[in-house]
Amino acid sequence: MTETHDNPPLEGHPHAWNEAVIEAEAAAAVAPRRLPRALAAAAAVLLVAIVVGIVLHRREATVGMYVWLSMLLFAVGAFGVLIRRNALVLFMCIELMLNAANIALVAFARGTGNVEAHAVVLFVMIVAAAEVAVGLAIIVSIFRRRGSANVDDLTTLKW
Amino acid sequence: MPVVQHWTVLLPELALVGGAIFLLLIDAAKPSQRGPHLAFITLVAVVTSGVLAFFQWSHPTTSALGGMVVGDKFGVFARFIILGAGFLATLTAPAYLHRRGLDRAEFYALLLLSTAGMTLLAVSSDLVMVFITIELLSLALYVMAGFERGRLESQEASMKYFLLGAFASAFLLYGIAFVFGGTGTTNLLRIRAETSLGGVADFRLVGLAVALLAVGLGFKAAMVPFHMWTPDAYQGAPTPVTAFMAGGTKAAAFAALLRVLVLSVPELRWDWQGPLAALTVLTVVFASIIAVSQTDVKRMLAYSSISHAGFVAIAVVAASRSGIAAALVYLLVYTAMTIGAFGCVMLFRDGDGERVHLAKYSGLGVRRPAAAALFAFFLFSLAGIPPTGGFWAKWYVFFAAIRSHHAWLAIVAVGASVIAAFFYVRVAVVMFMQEPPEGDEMELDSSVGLKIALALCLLVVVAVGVAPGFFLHLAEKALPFGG
Repeated sequence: MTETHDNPPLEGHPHAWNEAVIEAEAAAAVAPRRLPRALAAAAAVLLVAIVVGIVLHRREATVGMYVWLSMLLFAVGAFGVLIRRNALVLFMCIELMLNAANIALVAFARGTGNVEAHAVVLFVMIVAAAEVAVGLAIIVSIFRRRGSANVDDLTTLKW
Repeated sequence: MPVVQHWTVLLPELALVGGAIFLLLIDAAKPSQRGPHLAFITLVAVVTSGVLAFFQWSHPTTSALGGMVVGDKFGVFARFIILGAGFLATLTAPAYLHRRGLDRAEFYALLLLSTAGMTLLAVSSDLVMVFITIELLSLALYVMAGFERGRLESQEASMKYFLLGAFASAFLLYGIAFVFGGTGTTNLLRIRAETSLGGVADFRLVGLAVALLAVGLGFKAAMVPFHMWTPDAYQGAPTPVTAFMAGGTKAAAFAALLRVLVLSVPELRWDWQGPLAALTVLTVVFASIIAVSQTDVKRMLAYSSISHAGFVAIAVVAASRSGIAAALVYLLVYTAMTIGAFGCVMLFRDGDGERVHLAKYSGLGVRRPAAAALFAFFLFSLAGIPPTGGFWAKWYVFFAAIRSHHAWLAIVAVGASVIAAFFYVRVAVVMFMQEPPEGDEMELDSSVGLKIALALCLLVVVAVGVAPGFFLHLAEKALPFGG
């Protein structure tokens, strides 16, 4: 395997790349203590959805509502980037922000009756796909070397 | 103003992309043959692109792709700066890459694609084009920053640059969405028409959009407080890439910022000038102060490049004819002197690596006087000491600020450049006034390309220092959208 030759694991690093660490991390990811938190989050989302559904019941959806939705998604994404520490999750939050912009573009296209924005959305999707390719490659390359995708571990360069 | 549509506006970019594809193809055909000929092909592509761009100088303003790209003198001037950065980076790269076993065709192909993204950004007259070209130049740069995969710093630079860069492009895109919502168009000229008297723009949306756009472009131009990625990316990336990023990206980002702020929303000037002036002050002061405490020369130069972004932004705040001309001259000199400074860092070898720690520079002026003098010259120019080109660049920017009634901005910037002069001069003091350590022969890098690149940088900085009026005159002719 030439890859391992190109990218030797970091000697002596606490998270050095090996099978045991991966298994431990995989086990930690589905650990039972995480489950209640995930359930609580899902329940909260469901609750919000039900409340919004009741409030908006039989009301005609306006362009403004979609713009507000996009703002909410954008805020969730931006907030996620600021508070989460896993590179993959950060990346997902950034994708959420891009898609919030897509929703805004489509909503505005509907509002102004100008379909140019639909083309823009297609461009954005293509660019986002290219970004995923490059971004995941960078994250994988760094994970191979350090055995961690936590951005707080990136401390080689500091002031 | 009806503008002629013709696809030839895109010829310089087609030359760059064609060169990139050609490089990848010959590498696929003969993967065993890697060497300086790859750099040579890259240089040919860049020069071809420059010649094709040069022919547009005397042409009347033309546009292509349905008004998404505009071929004007401003675009030609900005393209020349960017192509110059690409040319110099390509000259410095082969020896550096060879020493680290990285001489691959992909590097040069990425460099050409990134250059194409930058030049297209400088000529784009539609926000969609701005977004796509920023992504094109950034995606290539993310990979180039992490090209030295075996080195932790390089990987880390790539990751940080990528995450923060993608975060910034999301802001940019959201800004574009709101511009579209407010004006019903993404074309810069039509945005200008809609936001002028008699337009139908929704100013609440456009105001929010301009703020978001400024955040997105501010990230690319590395203005405080959107600069966090810069020191890490510049320090960790391979030095030729750092030189290229520092020169090319900044020129492209400011060309786009000028087109968007000064040309498409001049009617909102009273809204954006204040916040941008605040960012400018923050940038020049903060970057100069932080740079004083740096001991890594590459990182110090990164903070220096942030503070220079602040100086160019002063010219943007001035938002006048003379401001645009001053910004162009500044970007030209800045690119030459900053690539020259990073080139000198590459010149001072230390075993297999390069001297990046300040302490390792002690006595260089005694052992290698010519090279150390060259480095000192670039540093003095960065500090803006007369009679270098850097002095005139700052002079024109301050002059533009005073003429547009922002004299206080010029005064703050002069104060910051006094602080900045300290850390530039300190390197010269360390080189010339400290004794060299025993047993350190201080060999220089002997690559011809690097020497040619340094000579070219020196030529530009000296030329602007000797005949600043000539370059200012050229830049004044190069007003966007033909005036």
